[in-house]
Amino acid sequence: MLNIDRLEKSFGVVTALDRCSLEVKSGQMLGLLGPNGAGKTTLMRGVFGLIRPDAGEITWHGTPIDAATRRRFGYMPEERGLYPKLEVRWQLIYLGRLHGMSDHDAGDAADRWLAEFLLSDRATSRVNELSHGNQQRVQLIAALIHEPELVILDEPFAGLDPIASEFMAGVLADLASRGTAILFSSHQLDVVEDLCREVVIMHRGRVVLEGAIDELRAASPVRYVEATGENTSWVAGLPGSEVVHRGSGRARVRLGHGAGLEAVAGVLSGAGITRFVYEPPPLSEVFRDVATS
Amino acid sequence: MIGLELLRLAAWREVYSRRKAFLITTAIAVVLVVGGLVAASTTGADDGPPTIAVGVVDRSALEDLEREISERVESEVVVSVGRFERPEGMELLRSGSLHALIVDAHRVYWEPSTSRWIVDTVVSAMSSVNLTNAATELGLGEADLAALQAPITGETIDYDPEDEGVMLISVITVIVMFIAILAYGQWIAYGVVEEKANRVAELILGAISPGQLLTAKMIALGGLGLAQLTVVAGAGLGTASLLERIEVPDVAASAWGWSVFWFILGFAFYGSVYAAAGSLAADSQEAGSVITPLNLLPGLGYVVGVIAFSSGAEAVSRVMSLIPFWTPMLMPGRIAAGSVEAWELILATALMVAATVLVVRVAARIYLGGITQATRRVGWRQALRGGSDLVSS
Repeated sequence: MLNIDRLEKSFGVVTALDRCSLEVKSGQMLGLLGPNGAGKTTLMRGVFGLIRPDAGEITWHGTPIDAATRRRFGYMPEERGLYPKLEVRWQLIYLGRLHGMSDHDAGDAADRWLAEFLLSDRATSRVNELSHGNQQRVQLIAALIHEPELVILDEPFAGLDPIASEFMAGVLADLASRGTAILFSSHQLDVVEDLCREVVIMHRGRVVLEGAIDELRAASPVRYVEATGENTSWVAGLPGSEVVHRGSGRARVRLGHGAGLEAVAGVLSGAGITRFVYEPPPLSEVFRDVATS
Repeated sequence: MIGLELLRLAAWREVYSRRKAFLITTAIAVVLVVGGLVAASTTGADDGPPTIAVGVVDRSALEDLEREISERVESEVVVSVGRFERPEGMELLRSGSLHALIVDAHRVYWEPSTSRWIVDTVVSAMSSVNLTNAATELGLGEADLAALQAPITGETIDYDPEDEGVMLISVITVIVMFIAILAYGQWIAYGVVEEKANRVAELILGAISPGQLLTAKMIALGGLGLAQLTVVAGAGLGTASLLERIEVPDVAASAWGWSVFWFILGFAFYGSVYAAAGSLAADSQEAGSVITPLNLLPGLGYVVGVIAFSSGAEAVSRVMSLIPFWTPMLMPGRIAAGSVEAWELILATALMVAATVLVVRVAARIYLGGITQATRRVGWRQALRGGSDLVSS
């Protein structure tokens, strides 16, 4: 288990991390959210010794992280982190060997991953000859080739088309199911919501919200009601609501300070409703509330 | 063991990445050196034609002239003196078939392209023949004639043909050391910039420490530099020894040996400085503004060295060769010239080793602080602080 305990880091007058704490368990996929400048990248770099924290501690299974431990981790930086003029397979083997693999094992792993990512025919291409999406795939292989116990990915879905995103999400989900601890940051909250059960939301260097996504959403006082029926006159029966959408026979409203399910059901009953949804706000709204608070 | 394996891997990547550039630049250098030597050898052969072809209109002095000219030139020069009618002789002279045409005892013509030494030789031979003829007419004996023709001898004082070769070796040593340090130093700098700009440094620093990464770069690129020096110097010395017209001074081999010694120290010194400079730049566009000013340091040693060794300004090269910035470039040349006292060699080595240890330590910390600052441009003070933090963490 990765344990980050009250980590602090300042760059001059800018506080990047302010008593920041979180945990990632083996087999857990934890989404790290936060607006730009929240400190997510600084936190990730701290795990790899690329910054020296002013205070706090980072441990892996209860032990401070040393060079040998770090070689069992995988990292995918936000921007492309490969040698652009080196061949794909050569560089994957090199990275695998840096992480302690034998030449033979690294070669086998490179071939296996390239096949899985449909990149076998690009094994001898230079990285700068690949499309952005394929470079991202190679980047992910570079982080995974040595079968790391912990994988940290900084914006792994940035710039990917929906198909590539789905593919990468599938790979990560598979890894987590096999016991790998995964921490990743992303601004694509729909992907995070699909992939993770738990998230951590950072703001101004602090963890301001953490927990299971369902619980975080449920903890919000906001509720949404969406109903389909003969008409939408029921909207007027929910004072203080904010109409999100209103069309022929279907409407969606936001209840700012909540209205119990029983009260909503009371309004909707007798209004000719054939289908209705009563739900907490999406993760994106929870995130926005935190980011603008 | 793991540390050594990591060093070996990272060093091999440096070599692998630059294998094409290394092979191409080495091939170009070998072609230039060997081609230059062959061209110099061939050009030297063109300076003097193997024959002197002289036409004579007046038949009487023909044999005497041939003898007199032959006595005045090297034995391998073929002297050909033939008799022609004046119009025919002038035609042959203009066409280049004759070097000179003697129309009577006191008049000779030559083409503008005729070498000066041929003209001097012919005129001297004609004077001698004229003098002999006049002495015979006057009834002078052989002793009198010998006295009249007593040769005037003279030579350059303190001239040692070896000196020019040694001076050349010294100048070449300065040039080669400068190019090697500059080229391989910049390879390190731009390699560091590339790793930083592409953030690949962040990826691999999880597996290898910055100190190991820097050491691997120094070993790999220093090794390539040394290999190139060896190949080019070997090709040059080998070619020169095969060409009979080029004499290789005895000091050439020892100059190369000392160059290897000073290259190792010089590369450790400058390589670490270039690595530190590279780590400060954010990307390759910015790299030039950080790295180019650095080139002035070895550049100054190069300029001073070439001028000093060419002109014999020993005092300047003597002082500068003791200052570590320029020792690697100037000391091998001075050693080749045989102008280094034992105490100077010991002092220069001690200063260079001390300066290298100090510079490598400081540069490594700047490198560490700079390379981990993602894609940002950082000042050297900031990098030094950051590097010191990481070292102590």
